[in-house]
Amino acid sequence: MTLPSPAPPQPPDLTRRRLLRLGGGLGAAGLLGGALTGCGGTAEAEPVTSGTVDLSFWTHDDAYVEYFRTAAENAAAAGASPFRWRLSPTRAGASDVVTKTIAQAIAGRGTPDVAGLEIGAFPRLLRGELAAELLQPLDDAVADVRDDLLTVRTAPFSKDGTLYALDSDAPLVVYYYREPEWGRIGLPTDLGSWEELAEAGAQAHRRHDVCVGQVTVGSELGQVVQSFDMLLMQRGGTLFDERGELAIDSAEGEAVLTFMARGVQEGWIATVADPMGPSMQAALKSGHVIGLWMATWYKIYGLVPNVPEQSGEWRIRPLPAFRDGGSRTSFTGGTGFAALRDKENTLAAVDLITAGYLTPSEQVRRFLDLGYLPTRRSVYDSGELLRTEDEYCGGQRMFEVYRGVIDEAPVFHLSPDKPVLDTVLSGYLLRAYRGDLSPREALRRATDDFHGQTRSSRS
Amino acid sequence: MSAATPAPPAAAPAARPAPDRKGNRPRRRGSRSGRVALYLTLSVLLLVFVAPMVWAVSGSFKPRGDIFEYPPNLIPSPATLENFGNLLSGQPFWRWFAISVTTALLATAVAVFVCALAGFAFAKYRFAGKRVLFSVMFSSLSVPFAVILVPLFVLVVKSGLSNPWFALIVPWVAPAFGIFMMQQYIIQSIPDEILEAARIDGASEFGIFLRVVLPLLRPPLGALAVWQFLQSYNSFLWPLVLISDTDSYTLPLGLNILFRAENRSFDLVLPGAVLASVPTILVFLLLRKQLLEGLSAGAVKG
Repeated sequence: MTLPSPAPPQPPDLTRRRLLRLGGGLGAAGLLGGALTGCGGTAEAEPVTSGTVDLSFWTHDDAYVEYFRTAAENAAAAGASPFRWRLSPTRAGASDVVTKTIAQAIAGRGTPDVAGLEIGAFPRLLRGELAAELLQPLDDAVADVRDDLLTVRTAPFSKDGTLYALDSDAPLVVYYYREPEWGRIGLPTDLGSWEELAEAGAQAHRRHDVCVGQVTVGSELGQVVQSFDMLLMQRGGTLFDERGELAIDSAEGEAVLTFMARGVQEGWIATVADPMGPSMQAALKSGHVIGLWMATWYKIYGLVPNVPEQSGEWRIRPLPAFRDGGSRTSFTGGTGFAALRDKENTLAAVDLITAGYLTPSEQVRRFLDLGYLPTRRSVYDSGELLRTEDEYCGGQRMFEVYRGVIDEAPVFHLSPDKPVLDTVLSGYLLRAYRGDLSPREALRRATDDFHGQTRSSRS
Repeated sequence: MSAATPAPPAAAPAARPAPDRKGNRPRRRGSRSGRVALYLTLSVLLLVFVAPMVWAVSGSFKPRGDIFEYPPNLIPSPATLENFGNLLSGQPFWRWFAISVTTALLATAVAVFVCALAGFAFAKYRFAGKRVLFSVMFSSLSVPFAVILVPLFVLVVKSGLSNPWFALIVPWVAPAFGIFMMQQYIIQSIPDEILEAARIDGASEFGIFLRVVLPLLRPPLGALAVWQFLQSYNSFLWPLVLISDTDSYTLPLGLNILFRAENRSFDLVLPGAVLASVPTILVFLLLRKQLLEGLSAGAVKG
């Protein structure tokens, strides 16, 4: 598939000198996060339109490299593209990919052709004109399938109505439970509401010292907020509304934080430093945590590597609902793949991303190979996926659960000020968990602090 | 025994140590219980500081599934070298290691020489703009590296010096802290008379620096070398921005991508961290004497 050269939105006419002035002011505070507002330094290159291209491919996860290499081979074998791609991968931490990209763009050299932008780091590109300056708009590339793409997965990677990256996943939040343990202590696994689960979980904790949930309280501030955000969205709340305004000081926010604080204080929700790290592994291994809410990718990156010996014991189900409203699922995580604009390989990069991420067959393969859910709604009816049984989850047909809740998934929006929110909100969440502040007070103070911080950073 | 037998000495107040001829009393040594408390406290602190290292070494010999076993077991059972094998076969670890060690040694050697030379100039010469230059150099101590990262990177790229082998050592070759440290030591410890004597003997100014000053600077240079090696060896942000080829990463970058991987590869990170700590331990052992002398220089009245 050859893409017509899309007309990118016109960035402000800014020179690199102005860019550096901006960078100098913002660099220390944001570690390059705001340094590139208005990067006009990228020289426009004559795009390559066919043939073999070497693409520099930056990602935080090696699995993406293998996935896209296979996608490139598949597309080439099908004759579906005028390009043949050879990937030259660079691995860096998720936030480091963004830091490196911005720094290289400032220097006017060495930016990647394709970059995997983890959703926690992506907000740094939403500041100012950064995204428009650096990334190739993908709206034309997805025009044919736009109606089938899950809006909930394109919204976070869009700005001002322009799509800049295609998500690798539709990471629904589900409830994981260790079935034999629930049976042993007599906990029903089909409780319909969080309130019922809380009552049963509190009793189970008193009798058997087990937990039916976890919240993150470590030094990764984004993870601390993530614990809260998952249930907040499920309850119908949001961190930021569609205009990017902070919206945590709400009835939904208070209800969710009250629920979580109660769980932590009564002990049936465990506190861990890192849901993928040592404390969680110890909690899982010891049987202290026998259930938790987490994204679909948690099986592969959290459970399988940490507790391989518990293979066959875990199951998933939709989240219990809150009695006062909300849905049965939520979202957390994701990684958007973007092409860098105005480079000679820009067209080839866009073509690789669409070849790898938009065709139904590749979306099916992505789930089977990586465990990432399709971002096209129609693929949720794939017979192959619905028939797939998961060995680690005791042969469960997990995709049936995903298809059952995908249409309930809430939309969420990012804001360039998300890192500020992570900083101010995480501390108040911990104080609310400890009982030092009421949930209402914690959210109100976090809101005040956030507005104070963002006012000062923008002045 | 008569009734006039004096009371046992234990009941008497503790005798005070006799003053010397100048009337100074010797310092009292701590009581036995005080020393026991001190040693206990130090032992606990030692355990606190050493425990993570012991745990890391222990964990690197455990199968992945046992690393975070609860309750923790410091003796690996079964012990395995599989983690080391996987690290060395699956990652370009030795290349990362070689790049880190080589660039750190280069940066250290250059920095030690430059600091000594600059410190000598600031301490012993008069020249136009000396005060301003020293003030600028000194004030740069308060500027975080993140602030100069972008300008430095652009400077390196625009001047065509972005070859990683060269550029990796650029930020570390003239540390303000090192220059200040050398200047202070030279002012305090090297009298002008020694330099004058060398000049009378016909030595050139650079010869004086090489043959007279540099040998006298061994203690602070040892301390500076250890500090400088650690700075360069552990640096993260600069190599991160500079290097895009994963095979040419430095150790902190390499270990970081293993740690930041989606599935937290602790079975690779722990043996990597253990191996990565070897050069720093060796540098400390080799320069221990100079380090201690350098750190205590000026602390005892001569």
